[in-house]
Amino acid sequence: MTRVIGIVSGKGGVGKTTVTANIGASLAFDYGNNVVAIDANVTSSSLGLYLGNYRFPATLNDILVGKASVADAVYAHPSGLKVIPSSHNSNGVAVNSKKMKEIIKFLKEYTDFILLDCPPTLGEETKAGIDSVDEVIIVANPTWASLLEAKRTIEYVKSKKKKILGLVLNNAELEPEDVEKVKKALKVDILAVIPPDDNVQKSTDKRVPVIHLYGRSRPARAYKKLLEKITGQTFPNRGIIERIIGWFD
Amino acid sequence: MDFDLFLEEMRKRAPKTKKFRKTSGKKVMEKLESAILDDSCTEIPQTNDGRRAYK
Repeated sequence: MTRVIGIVSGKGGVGKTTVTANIGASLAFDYGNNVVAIDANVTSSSLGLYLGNYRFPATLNDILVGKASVADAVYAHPSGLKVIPSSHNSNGVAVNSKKMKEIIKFLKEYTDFILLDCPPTLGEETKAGIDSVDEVIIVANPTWASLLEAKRTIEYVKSKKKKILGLVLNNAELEPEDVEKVKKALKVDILAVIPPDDNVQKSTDKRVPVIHLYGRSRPARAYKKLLEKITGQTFPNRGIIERIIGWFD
Repeated sequence: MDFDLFLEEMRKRAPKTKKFRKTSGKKVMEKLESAILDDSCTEIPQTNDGRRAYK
């Protein structure tokens, strides 16, 4: 059965797209799933850019206005991940949950995972994205502003009776007791704490997810644990050195 | 010009039917299936690092 997961945050710039790119590329490349990542951020898209390019002949925007079919706007990343990017020129196109559900319905026939990289803030587009998915991952930074917005988002997701997989604390260097405090305050499981690392920015610049470009870096190891929680399966092909390092993480 | 007349004029000029691409149908679904399962879709151009990472 296809899992449809939305990656959302209250605040912008917390790393939703980075999380989507890393999870998506790994679910496809390491776990061997058929995965489609949809950039639902039609007003300021960046998923395509994070994975290699930003100019696409057909995008989600074209699907939403009926200028392209879903198949026209699917692109392949070398990891095996399929991407439906958005255009940098929104032209007033808005994501609505009816159309998004329709797109997801088509994709479900051929996929194991559909990831929806939602827009920032809890606006109508994000709400439409949340309405279209079954499960949600919340991404936040360890700042008051980000966590407060995450709390609002969690409340909205709960009101829609969607399953919250948990919170990813991105770009966060936290002691275990601080992680516990966040967990209690937001009443949500902490899926992963992705530490800050120069390799994340380097990998973004090189348009390759950090989990594959710098597979032994701390963020990559945190992503692998995150994937184990999402899939319920041990991360494939973990080398002996990584396993030993993992004992001390 | 009266606004209603203006709207009427614009309506006449507008194409009668919008050309929407089909999002369902057998051919479209076959194309989608091959795009997802057989990698027949366009590849996202990669940097050298991107190419190396998946070799």
